Amino acid sequence: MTKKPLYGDATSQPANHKAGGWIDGLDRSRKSGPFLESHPMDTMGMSTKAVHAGTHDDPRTGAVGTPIYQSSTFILHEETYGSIEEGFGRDRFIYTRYGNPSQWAVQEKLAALEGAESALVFSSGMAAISAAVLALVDKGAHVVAASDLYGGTFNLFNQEFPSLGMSATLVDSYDIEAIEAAIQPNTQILYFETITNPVLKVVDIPALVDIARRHNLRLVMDSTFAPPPVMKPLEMGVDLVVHSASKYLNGHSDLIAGVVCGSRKLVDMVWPRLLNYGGQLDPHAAFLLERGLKTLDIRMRAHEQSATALSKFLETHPCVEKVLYPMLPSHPDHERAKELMQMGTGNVTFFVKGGDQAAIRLLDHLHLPKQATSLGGIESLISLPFNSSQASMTSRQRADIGILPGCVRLSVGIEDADDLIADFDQALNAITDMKGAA
Amino acid sequence: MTKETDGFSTRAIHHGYDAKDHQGSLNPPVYMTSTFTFETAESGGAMFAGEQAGHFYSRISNPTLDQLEQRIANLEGAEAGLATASGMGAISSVFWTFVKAGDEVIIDKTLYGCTFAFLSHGLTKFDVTVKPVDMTDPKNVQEAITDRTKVVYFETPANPNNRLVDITAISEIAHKVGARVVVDNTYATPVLTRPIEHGADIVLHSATKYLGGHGDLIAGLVVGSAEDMMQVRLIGVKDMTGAVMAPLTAMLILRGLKTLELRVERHCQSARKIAEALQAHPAVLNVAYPGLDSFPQAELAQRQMANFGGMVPFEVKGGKAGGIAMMNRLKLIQRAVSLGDAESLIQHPASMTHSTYTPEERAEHGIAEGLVRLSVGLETADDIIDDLMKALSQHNAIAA
Amino acid sequence: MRNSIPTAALSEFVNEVSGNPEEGLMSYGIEIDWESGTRARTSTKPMLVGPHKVSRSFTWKADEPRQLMGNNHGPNPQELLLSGLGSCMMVAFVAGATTEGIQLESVKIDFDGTLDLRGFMGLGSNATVGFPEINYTIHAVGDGTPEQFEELHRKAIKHSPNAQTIVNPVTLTGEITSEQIEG
Repeated sequence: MTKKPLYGDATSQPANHKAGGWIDGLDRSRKSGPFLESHPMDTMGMSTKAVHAGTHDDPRTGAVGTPIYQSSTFILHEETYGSIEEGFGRDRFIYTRYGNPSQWAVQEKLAALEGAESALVFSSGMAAISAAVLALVDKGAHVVAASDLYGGTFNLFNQEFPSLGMSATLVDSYDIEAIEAAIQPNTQILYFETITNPVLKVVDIPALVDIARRHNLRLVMDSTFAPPPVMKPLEMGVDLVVHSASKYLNGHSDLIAGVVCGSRKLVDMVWPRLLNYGGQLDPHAAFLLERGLKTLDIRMRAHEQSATALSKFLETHPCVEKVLYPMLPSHPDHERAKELMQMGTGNVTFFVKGGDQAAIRLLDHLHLPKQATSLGGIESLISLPFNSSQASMTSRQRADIGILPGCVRLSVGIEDADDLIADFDQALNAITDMKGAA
Repeated sequence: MTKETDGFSTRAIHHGYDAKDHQGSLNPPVYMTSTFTFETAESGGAMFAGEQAGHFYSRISNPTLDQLEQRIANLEGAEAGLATASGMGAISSVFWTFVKAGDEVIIDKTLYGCTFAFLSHGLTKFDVTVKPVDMTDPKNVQEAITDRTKVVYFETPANPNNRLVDITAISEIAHKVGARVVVDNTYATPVLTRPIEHGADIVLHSATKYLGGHGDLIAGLVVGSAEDMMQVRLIGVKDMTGAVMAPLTAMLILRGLKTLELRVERHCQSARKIAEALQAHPAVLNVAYPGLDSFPQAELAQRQMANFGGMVPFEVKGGKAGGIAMMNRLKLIQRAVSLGDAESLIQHPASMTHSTYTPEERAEHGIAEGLVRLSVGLETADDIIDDLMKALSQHNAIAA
Repeated sequence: MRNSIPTAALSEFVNEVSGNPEEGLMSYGIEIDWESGTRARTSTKPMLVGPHKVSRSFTWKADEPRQLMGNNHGPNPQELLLSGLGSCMMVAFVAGATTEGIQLESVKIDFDGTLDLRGFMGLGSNATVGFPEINYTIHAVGDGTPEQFEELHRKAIKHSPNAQTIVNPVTLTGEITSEQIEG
């Protein structure tokens, strides 16, 4: 077992300076990381990356898997003092709000899965989103964002931004012309979701990338609904990808976490926001997230399989008005989905005949899916946007973003498709009978 | 790293850990791993053969458990330690290691109910002779001991009635026939008594109690000579019981040990105050607290214990019905088994922890039917006393 | 962080621009609106740092003293010129010191310039319109040797964009659009 001292990212060293030169004599270049000990994983498959990337087999003991560094602080020594003085404190361990080996392990894994140079984990998706957005805007900035954003992000732009002297214009994420027209001289970022909630629009990412490049803007995308291996937005030219890791990434509905992935340059700009806003991920949660990620690829395949089978079943059921699943030809964005998505997810939205009251009765008759908000867990979760996620909207506002009466939001878990189909069959039949009786 | 002369809490916080080995992390990392990689196939073989030190599978050893084992061994003044999944896992692993069919063990009459059941009903099925004697008088051990005696086992203070056993006297008798003295030190903790210093060979704990201290885990610990611990590890735990501790539990116990001395001091301070208050109450028949002058073994308590613990067994008027009625009137003190937690807990041994004994055995072993066992928590002592006094003020002694 | 500049990040940026010169192209702009008399308000326009836009929401006012027909509501254009020159030299000086590993305690730059307004007024003298010369003194306190500070001074002037704009001929091109309104 190795006995060399361990102190964070050993490949990160102070900038040497040629005596007598100017600042061009500084020799430190930016690199991916920080990593404990980077395994070259670029050529590996998603499952291999999911299992091995970042997972830190302890060099002292050979223990398989990353130990949980349940420590608030780290002993300072020359290496850490030096990193603080030379301005690369992110590459050493100082204090768990700044960085912790358990966080690094999961960050390296997430970076490998997203194809990012660097990643940061946060205590929630909103902690990740607010830190990422505020890292990329300056006094007086303007943001162009989607009009059907997740409610928490909507509140950030709608409630917090004006208080900070900044502004946002919210535009339909389908309307590429309107998005470009909304850009102002002080616009700094475009903020969109790769797949929207709940009607599962597949956004034209290449078009957004093109707008961002032509206007010198940064494109930040929330890809919670399309985790790797479903989509890799960074490869398409997105600048920063954020996730609520509480969803598919962790996949077990047992923690709250967020992540920011992107170039080392941009993620290094986010890091000081993490320090200042304080939303770092607890080491134990980092351990659980890392553990959850190990099955990401196989879970996504099971989600897709069950969701596809269930969507097809729902499409044929006389009680169902419409099903929205991007991988089915009936979805309005099916062509784009085939182009941008490697596979489907577990999210299925459908509309039952009989409106919201019928939807309520449906949920009451279902045995398998749990009525709960959130998504992406191994257990199927079901909810109605009209009385949960979009309850604060008027019915007109809901209709504007495609939430018509009878809308049901379903996150298909990894249960057997046959069991889910049987459950939906009996529940749909039960509400049909009731309608008949009435 | 710590020195032998460092105080108890200093060692409880620092012993056996060097942050330099772990990225400078102030706290030891939790090695949540089942297995360990070998640098080469040969080094793996050498570890299995016992020719090379190192971890290879967490049922045998794990760095987080190792950290805890070193620390508890240091605090108990022993050479080595061993972590187990529960206190019963510790006890059974020790017995499976050191006794075989045809051997004899001598046990104290007053033991925790499940220990008593394991020894009297479990071990005897395997043709081991188990002799319960009253060890408050060492003469009884002297009379029972034979060349076939392999283990002499007792608790001090004993659960549930705080009876003490003279470790030095018993050890002298046992060692004459080469028997190991195994002491369950759960009640006293190494803060109050370190049985190894009095001549015991092996000390074990339900670490669920004071050592963990927060009522949030189940665990056992064993300490003794390095040779004995190696045997218990490789025979008792690895092959017989498989009762290995989870690394996360070890982390929580390491965390608990850091405040052990503080907590035990508070437990003792409050327990004495409560014992005195109970003793003065007319509805209370007797209080068995080793720190009271009225305690029958007060002299031994002074000699063997640094302070007198957090356990206050007492008997109220009205026997079992009286005890239960009083318990049901308590508001702050929780009705629960286990002990040594931050929360004060109370239970009724005859129907709970010691229901494995027959009434006759209980009578013979000094466990009164009306006895209630209070584990004094870390709450403000006056609040605990207030709760008890209110419950006792309504005490109806008619049942007597 | 030495002198509150992260050397590692500075080095990373220098090497990034070395490999990708586009990242080192800065575009700035300001707008100046006449308010009243000699007073005008300046606003910064969004800036480009390489290909990336930065919002710059800053405004300030310039004015002349009453003696020069103004109301003394802000620094005058000559002071702003010296401020722009000196602040730029300061950035270069501190970045250079950080690169050399010099810990600064304090740095102050003192500027003096004398202008003969006969140039501005068109009075037929030999006076130049602009500053014929600008004098400054840098007061630096830190752990560098006098030789290091002297060298740093030389390099800071050599690499300061504003200092070099002043000492070298610069092409000033402009045009005017106008609209005549009925008086």
